[in-house]
Amino acid sequence: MNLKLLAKPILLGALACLFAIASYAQTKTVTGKVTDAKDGSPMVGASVVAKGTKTATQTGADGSFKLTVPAGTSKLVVSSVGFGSVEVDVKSATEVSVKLSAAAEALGDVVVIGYGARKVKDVTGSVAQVTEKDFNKGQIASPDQLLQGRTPGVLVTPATGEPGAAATINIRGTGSISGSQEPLYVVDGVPLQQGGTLSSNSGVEGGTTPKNPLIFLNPNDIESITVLKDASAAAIYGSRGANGVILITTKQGKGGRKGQLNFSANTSIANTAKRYNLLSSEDFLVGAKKANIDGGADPILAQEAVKAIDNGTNTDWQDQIFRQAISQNYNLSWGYNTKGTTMRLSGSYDDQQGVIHNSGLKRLTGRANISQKMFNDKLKLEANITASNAKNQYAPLSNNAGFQGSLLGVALKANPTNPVYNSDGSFFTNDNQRNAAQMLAYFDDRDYVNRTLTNLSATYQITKNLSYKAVLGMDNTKTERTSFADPRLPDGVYGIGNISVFGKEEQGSANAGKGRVTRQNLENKSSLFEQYLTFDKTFNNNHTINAVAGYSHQSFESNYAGSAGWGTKTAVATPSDVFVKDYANFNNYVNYVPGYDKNELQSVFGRVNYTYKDKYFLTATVRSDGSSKFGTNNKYATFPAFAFKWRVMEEAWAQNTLGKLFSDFNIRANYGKLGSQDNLGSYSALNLQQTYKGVTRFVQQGNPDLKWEEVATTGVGVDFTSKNRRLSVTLDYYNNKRTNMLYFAPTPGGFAPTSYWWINLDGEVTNKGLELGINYKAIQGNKFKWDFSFNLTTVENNIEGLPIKINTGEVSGQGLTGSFAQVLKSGSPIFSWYLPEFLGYDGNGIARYSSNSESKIVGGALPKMFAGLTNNFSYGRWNLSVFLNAISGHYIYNNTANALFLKGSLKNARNVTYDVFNSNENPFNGNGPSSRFLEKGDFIRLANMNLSYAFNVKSKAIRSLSVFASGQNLALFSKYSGIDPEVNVDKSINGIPSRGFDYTQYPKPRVITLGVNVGF
Amino acid sequence: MKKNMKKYIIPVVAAVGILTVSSCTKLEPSLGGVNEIATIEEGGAPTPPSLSAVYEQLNTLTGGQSNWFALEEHSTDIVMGPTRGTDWDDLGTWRRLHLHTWDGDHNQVRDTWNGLNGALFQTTLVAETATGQTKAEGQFLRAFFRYITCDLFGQVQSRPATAAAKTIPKVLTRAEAIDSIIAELEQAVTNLPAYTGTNKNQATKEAAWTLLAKCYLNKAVYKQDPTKPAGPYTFAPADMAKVIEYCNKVSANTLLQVDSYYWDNFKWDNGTASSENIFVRHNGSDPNDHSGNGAALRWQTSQSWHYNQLPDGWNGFVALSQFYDSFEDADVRKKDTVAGYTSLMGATAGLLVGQAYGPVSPDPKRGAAIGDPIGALKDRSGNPLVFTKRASLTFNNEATGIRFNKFLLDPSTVKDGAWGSANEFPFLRISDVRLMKAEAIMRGGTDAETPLAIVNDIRSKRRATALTEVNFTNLLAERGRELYMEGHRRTDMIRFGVFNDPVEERASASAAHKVVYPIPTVSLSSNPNLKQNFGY
Repeated sequence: MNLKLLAKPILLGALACLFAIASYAQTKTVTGKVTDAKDGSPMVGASVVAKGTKTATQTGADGSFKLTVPAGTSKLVVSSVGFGSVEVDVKSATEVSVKLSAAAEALGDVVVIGYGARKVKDVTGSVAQVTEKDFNKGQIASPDQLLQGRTPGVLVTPATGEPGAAATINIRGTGSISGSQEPLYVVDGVPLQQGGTLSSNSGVEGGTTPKNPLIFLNPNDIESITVLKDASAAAIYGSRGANGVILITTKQGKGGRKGQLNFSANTSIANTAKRYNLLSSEDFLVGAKKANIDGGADPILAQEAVKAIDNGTNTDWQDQIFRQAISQNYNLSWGYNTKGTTMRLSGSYDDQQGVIHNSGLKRLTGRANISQKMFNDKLKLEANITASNAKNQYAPLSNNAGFQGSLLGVALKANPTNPVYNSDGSFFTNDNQRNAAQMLAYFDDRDYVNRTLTNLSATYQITKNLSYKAVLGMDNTKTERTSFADPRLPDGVYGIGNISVFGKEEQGSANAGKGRVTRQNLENKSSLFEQYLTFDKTFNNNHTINAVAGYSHQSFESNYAGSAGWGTKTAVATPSDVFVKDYANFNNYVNYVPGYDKNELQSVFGRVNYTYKDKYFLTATVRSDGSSKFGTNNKYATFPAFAFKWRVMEEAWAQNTLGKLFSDFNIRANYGKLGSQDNLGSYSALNLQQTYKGVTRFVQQGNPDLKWEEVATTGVGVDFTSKNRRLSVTLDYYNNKRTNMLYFAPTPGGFAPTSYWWINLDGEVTNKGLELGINYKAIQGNKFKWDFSFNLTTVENNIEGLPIKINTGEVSGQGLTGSFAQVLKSGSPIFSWYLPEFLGYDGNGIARYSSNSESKIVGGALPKMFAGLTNNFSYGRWNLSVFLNAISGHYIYNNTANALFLKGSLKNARNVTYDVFNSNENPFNGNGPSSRFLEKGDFIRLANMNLSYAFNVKSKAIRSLSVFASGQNLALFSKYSGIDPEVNVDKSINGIPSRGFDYTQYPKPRVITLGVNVGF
Repeated sequence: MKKNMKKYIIPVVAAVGILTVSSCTKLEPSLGGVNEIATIEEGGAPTPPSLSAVYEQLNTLTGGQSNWFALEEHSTDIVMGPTRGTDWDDLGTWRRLHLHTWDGDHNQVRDTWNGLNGALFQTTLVAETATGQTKAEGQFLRAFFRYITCDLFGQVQSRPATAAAKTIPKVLTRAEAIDSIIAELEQAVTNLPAYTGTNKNQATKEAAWTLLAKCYLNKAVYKQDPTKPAGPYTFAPADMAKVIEYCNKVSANTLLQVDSYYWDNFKWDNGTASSENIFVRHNGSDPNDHSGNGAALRWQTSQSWHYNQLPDGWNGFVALSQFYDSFEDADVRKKDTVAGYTSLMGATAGLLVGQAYGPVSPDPKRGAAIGDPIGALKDRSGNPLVFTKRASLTFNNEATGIRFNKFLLDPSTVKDGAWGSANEFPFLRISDVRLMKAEAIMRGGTDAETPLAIVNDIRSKRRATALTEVNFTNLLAERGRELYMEGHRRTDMIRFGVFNDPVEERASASAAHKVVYPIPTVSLSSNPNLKQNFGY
């Protein structure tokens, strides 16, 4: 805690008090006592404020208070945490007695659940809602970043630090053994389509991490994010809920007839949080010479050899690719509401630079949320429309670069004596090594993504208890990615070969001297039609029924087109020539094979919530889903779920027992089934042939017996609030079992058009653990308040009954072709590290391994525990929020070190870290994957700190004004030797996902943001 | 209230019901673009694939340095993939091939099996659904892939291509497989066209006869007791007579001659220059040809060449020094200066030992290019790049070991960086036919020609001195010198009974069962009809 941060508000507060005293010379004194309305016990620490002033005090141990107020004061406002607030007339009284009743407001909060909303007290399943005030602050590109670390059970792991990079979101562990592990996102009732990003095609070899699918949403438009964690909550989205469901609700108009106009602007400065400690030129030459001698070279020859690799300068190649990135964000919104109409219009502009040159994100979003009631409020029409345009620029990075490396690997291993440029301005290249600055200059890779999400609905209140709602949703995404490769890229190190289309190679299309453009277009369309009836009625005051029944149909369609051009119209050869980055600037073009894909889902669903005396709550949910992806016999599956909740404090007997400790105490239990089909392609059940340009290929025999993957979830939980309502705790146990796993398995004997096909695999993956959430209002002073919330989740993952051992986790780099580091096998957690155990070096610096270098399970990649801690301090108009998160119990594979940081690399004139320089590794020692590169991933991070000040605005024109400063990724406590252990580069093999790889990825930056919010 | 409810509920429920029913779909898949549904009901006939797409299956053999090529060559006395410091460990995949320590989890064993069985499916589809010459070509191709599968794995899967995908393939034993391959070839050959010199990328009568000769020559190996897979083998005189008969049928076509210049069969213009190549994978450079990339043989150079050579290689595989020493110095197969090549590339054809030469850029600001003066090359630490004769399997610097240069790339395509070099890969070659005939005579066949005359005819064209006698040892050595890097060595060593013998960098003999590769573990689990081969 920085004392300087506190000093200023304290000073300001003191000044304010002085002014208050000075301006009101005439005063009177009021005394009184505050008690609990229920049992008459004195209320300690209740706040007493003269209404309309800053004059205030707190009650003492006996509940009494004494307050000197200005003579004209007519009312006191008395309040306490967890209780309501009461206004007392003191116009003529000087002694008052105040009774405060326990407030139900916290429990009265509404949580959005699928196809409706419920009061918190009525929710039976495991549902976590994060609202705006708890969102992460600062530079936020996509909504999942708002949520990171804030709720138990939800683990958000960003793949890399690239602006807008996709993140892996696991809700209560992970079970899927193929394809995406993404939860289902539902925005204002419309389930989103997966995918929609395109990979590069003109850049360096290898794949890249896709962009975040949620990037089209402006985080400022989001009112709340709800996570449906168990089957009883998610079963209403049964078919697609196996990985959990995240409901995003956008803001509606506020501010009454007069309306509200809000404007916010902020600027961020981002820098690399850490860099690799690489050798200087001087040490590099010393190290290379020593490595040559250690490798058996004659010292005189080694001296000669070192002369040959000394190019005479000292270049910090990391400086060549990293920069201080400046970003801006502007938001404007206007809204109003009347009895019948609410409207909110908003727009935003982001320009987020990445800390690597030539990378960034520019985004323009617009949103209109409108609702109108008609016919005596019986009919409500709603429209939520978002349109966004995101422009990404990509640096030439790759997830699985080989020896030559992608941008970061190239910069790390570059000979530091190499200059960036030759004297004539051309890029320096030699020794067949890439030049990172040249890569940045000569590759150009951008896309734009236009996405509109429209949700139109009509709700008709048929009777007081029965309503009908029809929803029409449309989600359209158009993506265009255009990538250029400069003709001056030397062929020897970039080797961008001929273009091959449907098995035919376009002769003469290789990049060298010709240049290349690739343009790809992807259009995704999803449409949703839903209708459902909602029934809500209380019978005989004791029995409440809330029921939903409906039908849903959603279709997903995607169209791909791509083409490439080569041979620039004007010559580009000398350093001064200009490479015109225009698609039309080429002599030859060829189209890629077009793609088309469509699948449909249709479902009927129903849910009944039954409540008896506000004491017993029962929920039964069922959803029956059909998907066009499956074979005729197994298209449909039914997913039921049940949940029960007992509000113990509603029992008469509990008042005198539990009631002494708790104000609220609930016990919950649930069971249910969920399905998954998202990982499956649209046509996996079919026999397919392809005909293009007169050639027909029989490409696939499908599996018509494919059926739904299933997850059965069981959970129990308690939640309670302490007697004084300062402490509330939620504790859950969960156990999820996944069966019939969709898996891309070997075809029978491999005798088929493809070596692999989709099947439902025997075996089960279990995730079980505990979730704990604690909220505590530690200090509730008049001016100073401190509350904190803490969440902790444990996950225990295991695979049983798997008939085979599945390899995944490709290890990339020189000499590592075909290497892998992870397995999925029975008796171990999913994504277990499977490597030879490294025992150190022998006397000659050669690695020793246990048990004949055989691979064995040496640890897991999935965290066993993760936790988040938020501290909120407020002092008057100052607010400070400090958020830490921690993850532990897992290992990270440092593929970056495995590929680059080796004594043999130094011998071959490639730069390394000082750790390698100082190690006694033999330069001939091999670099086979082993536990040598496996490191503990545990960390604690000061992830987010936000300081804000709300001005006391007196102006009529301005309603509110606040400023804030926030920092992200401010400090990292970890023993990990790489840049950051919170990383998950996709190293999947054959569609089997991987976990916990570090490989020359975009580093996570440290970001400082300054911002202002104005309300009119 | 209750009345109200009834009044509203019924019509609304009815309306919702109607909407729901009317919007219900059958969830039929809907396709577009290049995809179409290919019906294969049990026993039904699908649209046959284009024949060119079936020939494309040959790419599973010529697609690169790994899999079929590596299984055939790295397990022998010719090629080795050494680890070089931080390079070429590749999870031990090359080392295990040289040391004969592979198992059913070996990645290249698995990938080769999968590639061959994918090809078996596609060729079966044509062999079963087409008619006339197309069917015959499909049958030839199926027999060709079955022969390779039988030779490598000892078990051949079979199922109707028109059966449902979940159908578990039947398994032919090695003895059953060779009989069915011979039967299919003998049936197909009548409908195949004769070799014309321009149709060597297609199935021809001569190609079928050559393959038949191979089948008969190796039949004793495949008919061997599976529990004694390494022999000794008993070669039946009747089979040897068949070998000689088919070899003579091929030789009767005078378009096929042992070429007076060995490198015509491998260099970039071998499509027209070779008079030896009977059946090849062409290179797909025809602009109107959509039948696949064909043999893009850059890898044949790059797998072995050093990074600082041009074209730059991956600095991988080396020739064993024993093999290098088996050549006479004058033998063009060992080393030859090739007109229009060596002056531009620096390298000679054959095996590269000693100081490496290549284009050296006179301008330090740019890399070397074809056309630059030829000079001595340096390694990446700045030392002279001198290829040594001996390499270790596990500890090497970047210059150790003899390098291969068999499929000479077109210098102009190296210069333009497009790698469009037009080399064809020969699967079957007349000099192989001639040597098979010599061997069949030695193994009990009879013919007017003598083995010594056949071998010396070839040797004289390769500028090697004539042998005074032919025995099994020097015949096998001659096959090695003549056919190295063409995918024949492992089969030859097994047939001559020396496959398990120690070689350079493998000091001890390997177990007899290594003459057959194991069935990949994943395939055993997906086809219960497959049983793991003896010894694994």
